[in-house]
Amino acid sequence: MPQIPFCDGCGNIQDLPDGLTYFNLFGLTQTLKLDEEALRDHYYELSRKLHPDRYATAVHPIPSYAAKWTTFLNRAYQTLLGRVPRSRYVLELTGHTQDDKAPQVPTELAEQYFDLQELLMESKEVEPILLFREDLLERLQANELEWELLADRWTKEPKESLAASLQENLIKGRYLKSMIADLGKKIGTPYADSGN
Amino acid sequence: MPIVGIDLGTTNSLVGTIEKGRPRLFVGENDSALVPSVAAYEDGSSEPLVGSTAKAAQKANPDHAVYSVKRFMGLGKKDLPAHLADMPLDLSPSDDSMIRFQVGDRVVTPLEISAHILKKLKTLAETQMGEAITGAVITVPAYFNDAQRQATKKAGELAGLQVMRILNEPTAACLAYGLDKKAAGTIAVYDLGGGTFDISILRVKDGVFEVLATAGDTVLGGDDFDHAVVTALLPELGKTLSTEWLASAEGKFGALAAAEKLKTDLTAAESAQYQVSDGKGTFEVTVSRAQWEQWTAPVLERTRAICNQCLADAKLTTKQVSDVLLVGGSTLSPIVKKFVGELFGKAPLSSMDPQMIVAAGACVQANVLSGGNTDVLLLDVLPLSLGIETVGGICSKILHRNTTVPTNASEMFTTSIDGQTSVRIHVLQGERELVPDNRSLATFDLKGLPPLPAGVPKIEVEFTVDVNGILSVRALELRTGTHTSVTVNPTYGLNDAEVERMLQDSFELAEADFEARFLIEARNEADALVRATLKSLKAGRSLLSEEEAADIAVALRRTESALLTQDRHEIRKAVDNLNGATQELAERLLNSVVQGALQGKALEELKPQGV
Repeated sequence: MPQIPFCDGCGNIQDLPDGLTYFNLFGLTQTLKLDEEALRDHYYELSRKLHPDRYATAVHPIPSYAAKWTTFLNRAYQTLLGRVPRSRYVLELTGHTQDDKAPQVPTELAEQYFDLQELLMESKEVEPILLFREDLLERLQANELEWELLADRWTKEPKESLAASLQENLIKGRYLKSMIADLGKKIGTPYADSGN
Repeated sequence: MPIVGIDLGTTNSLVGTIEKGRPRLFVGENDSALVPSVAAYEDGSSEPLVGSTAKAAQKANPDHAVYSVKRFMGLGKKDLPAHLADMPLDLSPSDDSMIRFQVGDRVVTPLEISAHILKKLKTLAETQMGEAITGAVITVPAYFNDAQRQATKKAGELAGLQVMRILNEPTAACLAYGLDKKAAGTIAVYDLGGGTFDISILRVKDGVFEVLATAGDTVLGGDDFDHAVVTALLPELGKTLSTEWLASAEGKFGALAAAEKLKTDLTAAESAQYQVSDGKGTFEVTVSRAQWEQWTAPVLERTRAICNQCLADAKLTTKQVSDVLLVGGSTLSPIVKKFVGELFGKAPLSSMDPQMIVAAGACVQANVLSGGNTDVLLLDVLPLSLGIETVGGICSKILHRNTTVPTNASEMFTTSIDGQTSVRIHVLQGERELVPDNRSLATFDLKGLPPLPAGVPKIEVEFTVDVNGILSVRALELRTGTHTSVTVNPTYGLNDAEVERMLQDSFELAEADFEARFLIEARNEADALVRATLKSLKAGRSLLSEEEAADIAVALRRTESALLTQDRHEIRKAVDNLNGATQELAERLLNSVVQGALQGKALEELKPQGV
């Protein structure tokens, strides 16, 4: 851990410094792929040191420092744990952020998207929805595979050329998941998103 | 400073501490650690009897006793669930919306009664420890919302306790179990109490207890078994007993008490007697366990959907759950054990008394907070999403349920009207798409915005939830630095248990929500496009031929009339049509140096940023 939040002299927890990234909180280099099990262990270890429960009877401002650190730690952990939020965060850190809150439907998916709306509105039968969902799940699998390849290339190739592809991959994945979820609602099959 | 652990239950409450590293629960007057959550007022005395003496007094004089108040904590009159409205308690008339009970000749609130119970527990602990108690960890159902938690905290303060932590019951149970058994892995806690249901899934490793997801229903519990039994028997009861008596407080109490006894008897026996008397006649029937199970099955079915939701939130299947822990008195029924075993595909654990385990966990957490135990750490979550109202009555979530606390998050929003100088911020809690379906926590105004075109101001709304689950909200206009903040402090009267019921309903209603949301979105889009088109026409009329202008006018009128309908398909079609008709104009406007391009504006005005 590069930034030690404890005072050398008194051993007390210090205030949260500015400019700390989620990666350097965990002593990690910026990366798209990481060992999630190791991250979890590290999160538990840091929580043990920083959690406000450890400072419940301490004097002001120690408990508020602990709360600030833990809030940051929780966000860092939740962001880095999932493939998708982690990828978004890496894009943001490398200056490739763009407002993808309400992105256009990816051209590749436009047709499916409109078919889906039609299907949701018109279809009274389960069969066509199941088939459609099957197709989307396959596309999602391909999308995840593409992410794997991009993540491997990310460490070796210039990020400039990859950032746009990664962005597109994420948006496509997001649309696929939300379409699958919409279909799931229709037929009562909740979709658990494992990548986020 | 000794800190005690308290389980403030619907039916029974417990208090304890850690002695030699183990939880020790204090025994009350009835030689049991279970202190009945009942208060009874005797004529002429100002302080109520609490606990087993009150329960005894209740039998003799039901009108003078109050029980199950936990079901009413933090609720307003309008939040009163229908099946609680016929509790054998008088809802006395009063001007405010707070729930009050008429007990004998006095009027009391659920908060006061809870404070009396807590005071009783405090005295019990002090007598046996021989020293003054100042601090307490008090447990609540994981699914309690902000107002219910705050009401509980307030009751603790009224009882003279510093509430060190409001702790979630299933988490507490898991803590007690995990510590005892040195457990590791993924543990599901199925907690069916007298009046509430919770399911929590935790990952336990090396003393860290991380809650992955939680779900529940704050108005579903073992009492519902008794209500189901009475409802099923009512036609028969009416044949033998006086209907007048059955409708009285005494009669309702008698019928329910008999159902409770039947439930307890059926725990060990295959069949038992249901017996109730109105003083003149006696109704008696033999009920088999199978019959009882059939009557109460719908109550259990309601927990199934909630468990499935929780598993999906934790991104787990039942196979990945290593252990299932049963908590709450209602899980003593064999049918509950069987049901849970089938649901999770493994025999549930019940090595610790499901009625004691929550209190034991509260003691463990009290010990952690006082520094006596540094091996254990709890990481708990926010049970219900938090958000704000945005254009068209949509609830835009800022913090999602099952986020580990403490946490914070912020979102950027903007104005929707030119020259708007204030924004109303409406804070909501719940999972549904539309504002009225969620619980309203607070409303405040961010004033003094510079008068700018719609979409230009940048308003940052930040939510912070502390380790106790208490929310505070801050809003900031980034261009001018105008800011305002509130600590959300819901009035108890405004609370709604509806939220919980609604979240539960959200599966069934998802489809209707979906329709309503689509309609609102289509309307917003159409509305924004109409306004943007009018604006562009003003700026770029000279760039159009007569024919083109006429086409746009037709498309515009079609959209405007579509907006008058509820037909979102027609609205969509009209929007597409208008988009097509104005495309050329937009391009020309862009090309000509005229600013405020059609498409950009349309998007900006469509909805707040960040939605």
